[in-house]
Amino acid sequence: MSKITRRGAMQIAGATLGAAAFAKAAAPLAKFAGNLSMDDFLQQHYRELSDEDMKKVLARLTAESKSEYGVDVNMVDARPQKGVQFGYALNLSVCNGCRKCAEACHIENNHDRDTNNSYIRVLEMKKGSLDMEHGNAHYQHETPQDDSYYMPVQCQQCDNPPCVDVCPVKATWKQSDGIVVVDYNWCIGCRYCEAACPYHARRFNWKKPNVPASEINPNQSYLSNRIRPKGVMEKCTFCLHRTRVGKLPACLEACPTGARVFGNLLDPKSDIRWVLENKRVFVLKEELGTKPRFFYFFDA
Amino acid sequence: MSNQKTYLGFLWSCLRISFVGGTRFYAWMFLLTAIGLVGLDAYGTQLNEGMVVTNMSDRVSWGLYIANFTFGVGLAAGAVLMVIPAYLYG
Repeated sequence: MSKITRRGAMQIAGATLGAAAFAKAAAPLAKFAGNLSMDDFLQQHYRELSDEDMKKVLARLTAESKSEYGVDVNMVDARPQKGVQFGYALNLSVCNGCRKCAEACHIENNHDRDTNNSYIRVLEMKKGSLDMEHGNAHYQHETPQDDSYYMPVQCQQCDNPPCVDVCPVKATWKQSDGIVVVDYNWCIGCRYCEAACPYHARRFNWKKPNVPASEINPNQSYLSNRIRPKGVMEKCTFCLHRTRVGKLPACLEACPTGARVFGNLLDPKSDIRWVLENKRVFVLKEELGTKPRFFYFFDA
Repeated sequence: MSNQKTYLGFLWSCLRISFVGGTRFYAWMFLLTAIGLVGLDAYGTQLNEGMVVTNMSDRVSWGLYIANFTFGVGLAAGAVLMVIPAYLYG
């Protein structure tokens, strides 16, 4: 056996120390790699999934939801109906800033409980000005205050959406009934759409959402309210898992003043058509050319 | 075939040379590697726990990250322009 010199011994000790340090530094990466799923990695874009692929994806997501959150969910793929173009209107004269719409959205869409996230931001605006930049979305006092009016803002489902234009991977697009949707399994989480949206309607999942099992809404849809993985964007989908089967969005049903109006713009007898024809409706930030589907109006 | 051997031999020589150095060289490399390993650990933590560890929020969702990217791109373009004359004209 050859003699190990002191130099050799120092080199071996140094190499071992280095390997140990490297292993410790790379430990979180190993943990991450252990959590990856090959099916998830190989999944195609939503628009390229066949019906059988979709069934497999839904089955896998249901199983993941069961193992991660402990809840049996009913996940479907709610498709747009023909002959439907959704529109939403809001009566600013009766909105009293109670934020029950935001709370209903929070519960219906399985939002992260730690951040009290919601797709709806209610802005407290000074009477006499329509400047969104000066609206306060974080008020914590009794409402309604006499010198303010309240304007809830959510995704406007624009006809010319800037968020769709800037997505580098085309993970978000406008479907045939007007709703702009996000394929959460395709989104890479670059947050460009969040930077592009002029209404600040997009939200990012900064961490894995924490929703207690008893509060999870089990009626979920692939494109809307299933519990998102961390690192993807999300936004208001006009509750498409409800509205595409004939129900109303959760925010509308929670509003105690009846300020919200939702319906099919192509149906001449719908409430939304009546509002558009009989009230002086306006849209936010019209000068940007986004052509929103969300209309605001004041009663006389 | 001989090209391949020479190329592999070249790579092996490069690897061997990068371990040749005095005490100051080793101290400097040690410091840089330590900083690099801290960065690797931070990256792994960010992958595991999500971007919430960066303390950014929906209001400032790009923060220093993207600002640094764009700064780095501009800096690199400027550096390329500075260095090109030296390469082209010796």
